[in-house]
Order: sequence, then structure tokens, then C-alpha cells
Amino acid sequence: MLRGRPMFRPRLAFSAAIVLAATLVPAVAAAQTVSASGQPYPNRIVNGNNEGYSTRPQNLNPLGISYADCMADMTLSFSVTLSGFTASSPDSLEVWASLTSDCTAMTDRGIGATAALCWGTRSGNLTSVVTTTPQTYTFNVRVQDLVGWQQGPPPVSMNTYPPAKGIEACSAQATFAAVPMNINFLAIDSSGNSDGTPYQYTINTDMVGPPAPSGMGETVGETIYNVTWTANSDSDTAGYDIFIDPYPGQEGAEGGVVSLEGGQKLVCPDTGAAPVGDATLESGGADGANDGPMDSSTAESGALDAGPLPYDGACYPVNTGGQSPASASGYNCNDPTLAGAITQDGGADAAAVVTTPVTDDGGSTDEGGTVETGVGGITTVGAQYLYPPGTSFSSGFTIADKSVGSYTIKGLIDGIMYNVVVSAVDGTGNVGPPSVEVCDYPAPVRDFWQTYQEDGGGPGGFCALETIGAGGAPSLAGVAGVVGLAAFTRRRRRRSGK
Amino acid sequence: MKRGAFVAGGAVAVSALACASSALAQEDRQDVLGGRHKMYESAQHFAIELRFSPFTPDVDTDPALHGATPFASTLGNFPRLMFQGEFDWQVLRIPHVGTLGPGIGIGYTKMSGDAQFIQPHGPNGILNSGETTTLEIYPFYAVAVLRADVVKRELHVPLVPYAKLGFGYSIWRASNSVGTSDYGGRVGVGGSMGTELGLGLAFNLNAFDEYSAKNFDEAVGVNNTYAFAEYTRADLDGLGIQSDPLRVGGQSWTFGLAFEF
Repeated sequence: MLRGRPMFRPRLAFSAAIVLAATLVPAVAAAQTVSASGQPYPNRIVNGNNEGYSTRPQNLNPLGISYADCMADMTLSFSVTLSGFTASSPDSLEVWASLTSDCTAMTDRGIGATAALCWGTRSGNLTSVVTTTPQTYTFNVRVQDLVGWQQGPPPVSMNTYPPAKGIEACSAQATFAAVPMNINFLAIDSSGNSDGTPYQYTINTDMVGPPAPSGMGETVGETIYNVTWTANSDSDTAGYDIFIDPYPGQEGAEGGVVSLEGGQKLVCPDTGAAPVGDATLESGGADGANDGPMDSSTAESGALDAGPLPYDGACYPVNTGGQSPASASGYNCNDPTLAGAITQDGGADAAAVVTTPVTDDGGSTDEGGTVETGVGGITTVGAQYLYPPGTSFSSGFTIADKSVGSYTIKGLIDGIMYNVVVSAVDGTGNVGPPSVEVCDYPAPVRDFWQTYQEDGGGPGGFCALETIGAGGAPSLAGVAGVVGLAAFTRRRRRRSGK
Repeated sequence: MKRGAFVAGGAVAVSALACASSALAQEDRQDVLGGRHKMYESAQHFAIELRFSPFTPDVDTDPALHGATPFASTLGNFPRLMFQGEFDWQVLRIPHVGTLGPGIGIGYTKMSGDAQFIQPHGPNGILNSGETTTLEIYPFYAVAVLRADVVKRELHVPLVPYAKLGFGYSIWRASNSVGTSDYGGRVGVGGSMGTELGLGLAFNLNAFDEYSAKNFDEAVGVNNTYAFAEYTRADLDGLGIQSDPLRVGGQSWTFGLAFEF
């Protein structure tokens, strides 16, 4: 007995091993794997053009998704490698997006469940069954299909995908904080199960700009305009954009007129002259403002109740009665371009606009509004009003520092009323809703030097310098020369003394 | 007169205290360490001063202004902090008097205010604009310095009266929020020269702790440390050479620390 058993056991074990191997080997060979190809980030396709990995500078989260990316109907083009797909275990490749899930569970994909955590990216799903690998495939994922369902993916049945999203998808984000998303590339068998090893790519999406700055104020000087605000304290703000209308250098482009709102009068204190122009009253307001009747009971020297009127270099509209000014400067600012832009687009659910009607002396309701603090949004002010010249939404900020609360605009024309709003910008380049508007006009000032000269002061001094850099250097060189000469003379005396 | 007497009295009192302290310190040095420190004192050839003063320039004293006060009306007639540094070379030691030598100094001060609108501005008729007007002054001077440390060295009273006399040249720049001011073709940058005078009294701080003072000397070569008060006067009126310069000199009380090494 004992001698025969060793002969039997190895034979049995060998047979079992053969059977087990025959069972396991096909399974191992069929382990589908999805992985990134050599391309680490998706290419960005806009209007059929491949823009490469990014369309923004490095300081604006170029690998993420912004509101502008969404509005441009950008497509992300992923390159992934499939391996382990065989004819005996054919799977299809599907692309699912989610905020939290890897989408491998069918219920997460809404199959057999009333609510889903994942949504299929319609254009990214591979329709044919993969049988021959390894192969590298390109999968295109529309940004709008990616971000459009984040508030609530629809439950789906197998082989049906959510309908394609449009630009409404760009307003789907609920808060101004960035939202990371997982894009999952899954091998799906004929029963809907996820096979093998999927590939997951995480991308940061942010389509809502930070809250509008509050505490707006302004002061002006000669050709300059100082804007001040309370620096934002939220976690999203990375900088600020300044918008100004009329744009410096294009002051004449809008016809050069001062439009009077209801209950306002035009005052020209710097010249004392009456503005030139027709006395046609605005009717209804060409700027879309809800203008009331003009107040004709407040005529005084230097003040007119007519409009529109040409700029004469020092005229501005003021409120005629006890109406509370909408601007810290005392003006009722209602720039048709900037005031109209206080309607957010992106993040509409979160970015509430609180309109505060203002009643003028005539009992009419003027337009007015403010942006509720603490919410985000997207500005609708055009980039053509963005200051300074050369700044664009895609290239950066006016001020790339969250803690800053002031900015000086230079090179303006004295006497022209400029309207200014400030928007906070996040790290992805989303420009938030504009602040309340401030308006004022630069005017001539008398500084110390002018006062000194006008009071009879002289040219200032011997060797008056054109600039420190130009004239100062020769003067300092002269002093150095004298010192050097003295040292040289002293040295020679010492030598001769030897 | 009363104030002068008070100051003099205060100085005497401080000196008396310092003398007492010095005497006490000498008594304390009846030990091995004290004896060793007494033997050493490094050579002394130079002095540096860190100077701080509340300063108001004499701009409005220019006779050409005929009583107008452009400085006071735009920048405010209150003093601003001027800080300076001075380096002295104690070339000569005059027996029973003190040291004599040249000194040079450089400093900086800045005064700003709101530029005024030419016309009342806006619906509220405000005059102060949002534009800043500024006058910056970079004073340079070269002086002869006499430090009468005989009182300290021979009478052991830790007070050193001193005097400075020489020439000053201040570079200045008037500017606004846009840049350097320019009015009527005259750019607001220039230099003004004149005389420089200083009369001061330095109090030797070594008297408070001679042991530490000796250590300071051994470690870095500083022989004496002083706190001083100085009447400073810079008459930068052009010396008759310049034509109507901007008078950025002035008189002030300067306070600071001095180190002889």
C-alpha cells in the first residue's frame, strides 16, 4: 500500500494541473486591458482644428475645462491602447463619465437602477466589437457631453446613451469651485459587465467664475482713474479683470455723447459752458434703460436737462434730487454695455442677480442692479472692454493677484465719463460676474510742481535733470570724478614724498 | 530759556547717572575678567551714524514765492521722517580736544499728498483728487566733523559734543501718479546745493555696561557706541551759484546711533 501510493499521487496531481491550466490560460489571455497610449493628455479639437494639449497659458489650468472651452464645443481626443481583446471574448469599448465612480458597476451606469452615477459620452462610445488587439484607438469626447450631466445623469438601458448636449451644458455647474471628473474607458461584454482593467482619466472642470468683487469705489485725477474694491476671500478667485467703457483710445467710437437717464441733469463745472448739441430728449432710452421723464424743474447755471449731448470735455450727468446714487462717486452709472452685462450666463443656478429698482424724482423706475455676493457666474462683458489693451480672456488677467484691491487706469481723456466694472477671474480663466458699476470723469489737477511753478518758483536748481536716469548719471559721475581726482592727487603726493 | 535750562539740567542728570553707573561698573570690574578687559582697546579711526529726523523742507521760504506756500498747500506743512547714514573718517586726533576729519552722508525722505482738482469736481464738488503728488529728496553732504571727546576721555563724563560744517547737495524729484511732473516745459527733477551745519551732543552708551562694551570692541572693533541728538540745518539756497533752486533743505532735530571703530 505504502509503496504504491507515491506512484499514484504524482500522476493524479499532474493530470489535475493539466486540467487547471487548460481552464485558466484562456481566461488570462482574455483579460482585456485599456491603457493610455504614449499621449498623456487628450488633444483638443475646436472647429475641426487640433489645438494640441492646451489652448491656454500655463497659469490658467491649461489641462482643465473652462467655460470658454465648453462654449467653443471643444472635443477631447483621447488615444488609448486596447489589449487582451480576442474573438473568443469580444468586448466593446465604452466611455463613461462620472464625478465619483469608476463606472465598472452596471448600476452606476444606470443599468438596473433608478439613478445613475455615470453617463455615457455619446460620441466616445465604440460601436463595433473589438476582437483583435493590441491596437491604439482614438476616442473623441465632446466637452458638452462630458460636463452636461453632472447635476443628474439619466438612467439608461443598455446600448442607449444620453442625448447630445448643447451649450446649455456649459451652465450645468452648480458652484464656482472646480469640479473634477473621471472619464472611464471600459471594456464591456455582451451582458453589460465591465471586463478586465479599465483606464481612468481625471480632468478638472470649472465653468463658473468667482463671485463679483464688492466694496467698489473710485477716484480720478488728471487722465487717470483709480478703481478700488474689497479683495475677494473665496477659494476660487485668482485675479481680476478690469472693464472700461468707453475704451481708452476709442472714446469717439460711441458717438461721444452723454446719455441722460431720467431724473438726471448735465453739469459742466470745469468749463462753465453749456454743452453744444441738440436738445432732443431721450425717449425710452436707446441704451435699453428704463428711462423716466426728464426732470425739467432743476435748471440752473451750468446745468441742462437735455440729452444726448456731445462731450465737451467736462460735462457729466448727475441726479437731480434725493435719489441715492448708484455709484460711490455720486453718479448714477448706467452704462448700457456694462450695466446690461450684469446678467450671468454660466452657472445661472448659482449666480443670482438681485435687481434693485431705483425710483427717480418723477416717480419712474430706473434700472439698477447689483450682483448678490457669494455666488459665481460668468461675465457677459465683451473682451473688447478688457483693460489694458492686449489683455484677453484666453491670455490672462488684468491683475494676477487675488489679494489686490485697487488698480489705476492711465492715459484717459479728461472730461469724458468712463464706466468701470471689475470681475474676479479664477485659475481656469473663467471671468466671473461684474461688480457694480462705478463711473467718473478724469479732470485736470494741480500737483506740487505745478503749484510751485505757478506761485513763482524757479526752474528748480542747478543741473536740473531731465530724468534721474539720464541726467542723474552724469551728475553722479561728476561727483565721482572729483572724488577720484582728489584720491589720485593724494596718492601722487605720497609717492613723491617717498 | 526755560526749555534750554530744562534740557541742560536733564543732560547733567543723565551724565551724573551715567557717571555713577560708570563708577559702579569700575567697581564691578575688581575681578579677573574686568582686569583683563581693561588692558585692551582697538584702534579708532572711523565713525558711522544712523540718523533719523522729522523733516520739513524750506520750500515755502523761497523769496521768489512772495509768501505763497505751494509746499504746505499741496503736501501739508508737517514733518516727515528722513533717514540718513553718515560715514566719518577721524583723520586727526587733537590732544585734549578730540577728533577731526571729513564725513559724508546720504539720506532719503518722501512727502506725498492729494493733488487738487483745478475746478470742484463732480456732483459733490470735491477738491481732493485721486491723484497723488509727491516730492522725494535724496540729500548728500560732505562735512568736516569735530568730536570733542575730551570730556569723555579726560573728565570721564560720557558726553561728546560735536560740530559739523560743510556742503550739501540734494537731488529731488517731484512726481504725480503718472510719473515725473512736468509743467511749462520744466521737468520736476533737479538738485539744490548749499551749506550743511550740525551741532550735537552724543551720549556714550558704553557707560551703561562697560563689560559688554569691551566685548563689543574685542568682537567687532567698535570702541564707542553713542546715542545722539543733533540740531541739523541745511541751507540749500544755491550758494549764489544756482539760480533760484528748489529749497529742499531745512532745519530739524536729528536723533540716532553712532559707532566709533
